[in-house]
Amino acid sequence: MLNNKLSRILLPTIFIVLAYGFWLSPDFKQISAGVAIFLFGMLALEEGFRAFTGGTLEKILKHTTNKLWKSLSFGTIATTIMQSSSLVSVITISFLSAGLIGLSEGLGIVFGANLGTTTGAWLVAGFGLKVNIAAYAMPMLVFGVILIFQSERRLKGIGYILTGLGFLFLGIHYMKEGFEAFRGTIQLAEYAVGGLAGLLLFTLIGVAATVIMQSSHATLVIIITALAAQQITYENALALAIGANIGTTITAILGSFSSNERGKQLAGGHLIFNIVTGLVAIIFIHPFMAGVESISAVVGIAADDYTLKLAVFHTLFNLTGVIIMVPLIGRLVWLLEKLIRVPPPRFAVPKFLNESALAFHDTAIEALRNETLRVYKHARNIIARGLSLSREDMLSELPIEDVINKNNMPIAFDIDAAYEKNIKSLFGAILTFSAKVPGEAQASHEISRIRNANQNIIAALKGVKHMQQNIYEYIDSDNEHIREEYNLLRTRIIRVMRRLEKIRSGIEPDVTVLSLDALKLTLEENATTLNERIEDLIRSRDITADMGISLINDSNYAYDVIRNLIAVNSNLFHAEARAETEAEHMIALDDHEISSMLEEDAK
Amino acid sequence: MKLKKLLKKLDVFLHADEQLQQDKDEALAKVLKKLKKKEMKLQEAIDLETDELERKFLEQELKIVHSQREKGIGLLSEIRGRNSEKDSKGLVVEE
Repeated sequence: MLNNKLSRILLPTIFIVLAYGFWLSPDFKQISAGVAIFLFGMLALEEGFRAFTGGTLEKILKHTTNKLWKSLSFGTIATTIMQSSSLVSVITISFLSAGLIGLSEGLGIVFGANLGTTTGAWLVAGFGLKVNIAAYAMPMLVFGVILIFQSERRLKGIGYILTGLGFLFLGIHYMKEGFEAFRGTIQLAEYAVGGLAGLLLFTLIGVAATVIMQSSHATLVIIITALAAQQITYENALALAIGANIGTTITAILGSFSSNERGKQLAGGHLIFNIVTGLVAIIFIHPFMAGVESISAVVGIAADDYTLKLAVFHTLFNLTGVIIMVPLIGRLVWLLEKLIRVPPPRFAVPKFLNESALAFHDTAIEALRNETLRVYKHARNIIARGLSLSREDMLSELPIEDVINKNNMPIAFDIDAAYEKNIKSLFGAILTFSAKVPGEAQASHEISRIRNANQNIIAALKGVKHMQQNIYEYIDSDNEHIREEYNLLRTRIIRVMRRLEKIRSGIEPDVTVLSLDALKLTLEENATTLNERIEDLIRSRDITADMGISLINDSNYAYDVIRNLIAVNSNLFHAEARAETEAEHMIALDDHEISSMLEEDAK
Repeated sequence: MKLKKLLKKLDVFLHADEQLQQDKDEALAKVLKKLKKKEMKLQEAIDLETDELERKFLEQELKIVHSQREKGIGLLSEIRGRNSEKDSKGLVVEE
């Protein structure tokens, strides 16, 4: 909303100012074109890296963010490679929203990304200005565009990366040329403001420029090229760099608008980190400048090489920020969780499904799977209560016989109300979200399995609902035969539930999908013996015909419940590698094969 | 040697579909290995089990694992057969 209003005012203003500027000065036009080409290069670079996110990203992230130092390194390295802290922040928000990583790991990545962004200043100051990079840009663009036209996804990705780099280089070249030509007409350095006022003013300009371009990297390149052309003073360039660092958080904040509370907490953390770092840099600007001088002297940077000194300053104050904030990460998480609370909902609201999780194939699938697991957990509670059991007892280590004896009285429980409150809204959200998942993921087995798992959950609940009335009536019946039969139905469901929990928690061997086949066989076997026993009971008049009909119906419902519970887990279990999960599904025995085994046994 | 390796890597990169087929092959082989391990473990458990009912249950599970392995081996040889057919027709160029 606010975003819309802002862009409605901001966009025409920027257009008018730019148009006026172009009319006034062709050099300004060249610099602006450089910025535009640079930003376009970043877009192409992002597009290129997106091609490599399917499949491996989830795996890399899981292994590289389980410790704070790892998430810090991941943030630094990823930003160094992709040259965009904004992209890393947005990826982190989407992973956090999808529940793939925790808030402290997310903050670690963002802190690392801030450090990684400093490599950009080094590259531009150390390489971009000293070499004619436009010469490199041309072949990159040619090869890149040829590769973009290839159908192979990875080749296309490389094409976008090459084109992106080509445009980045070309953009830097135009900015450099523009500022140098500018020098002949106007001396911007004449507008330099010294002292504290200058520091604050140029910090604000840095913030504004980064907010408009949504890229601290682009701002930094402008600062460095302008500094190289002596269009701004060294002191003002430092203030601009501080401003760019604060302004970059706007991308994360905008990205968090479409995410859940977790995403907003991360964006808040990002903002706090950059403001604290910025304030420290402003307050201690003189010690920092002295530090830069001594470091430059040690590493052999010339006294008048202000662009490289700016890179040193940029690294130094970001590193200081990391050193200050890392020990406080626990407190920061506490503060953010306090400030941005997750509101207690009346109806269950999706925890993992949000727009930012849709950004990548892996996060979308993982968000759907996690949300479905939530639905399953809610359903498990409803099933327990529907069978007049306590959930804790149902999944405890207590012998099942003891659980049945302990829970031998009917428990009044409204399954419909529980379904409305805890399942329906989530189910709806899962269906809507799964329809929005990016094209290629739509066709995958994974998404259809997740949809099926949800339908299996609903079917299992329906079965329990049908059984509930008779369970009320018969689990404390005076007729011990019918009581025993109904307790047997409850026993079977408890046994399956416990076994599924064991398989899911990884206590069982790691061929999870295949472990379910044994349950399927037992289910079929039990169904056959149960029907025979019911007939015996009716024939021997141990139960009435009415009881017999109820029992036949309910044993069928119990069969459906168990079958659907097995199916839910078969659809949700997955091996670490996607190909292995597919292989397990290929090997899993189908109904026909299970029946053949039963027939063989009977012989 | 290094060039050969590099060319092989490039070949893999340019033939993603074949790579996918190979991944499938590898995944099946991996799952089959796990099943074999499970089969051996179950056999050991059956030998040690004294409770008749529990042993029966374990035997049933062993039978299932055995059927799964048979099915998996069938699928794997089918995939490998298809690949070698392709090779002989010259669809896949390998060193």
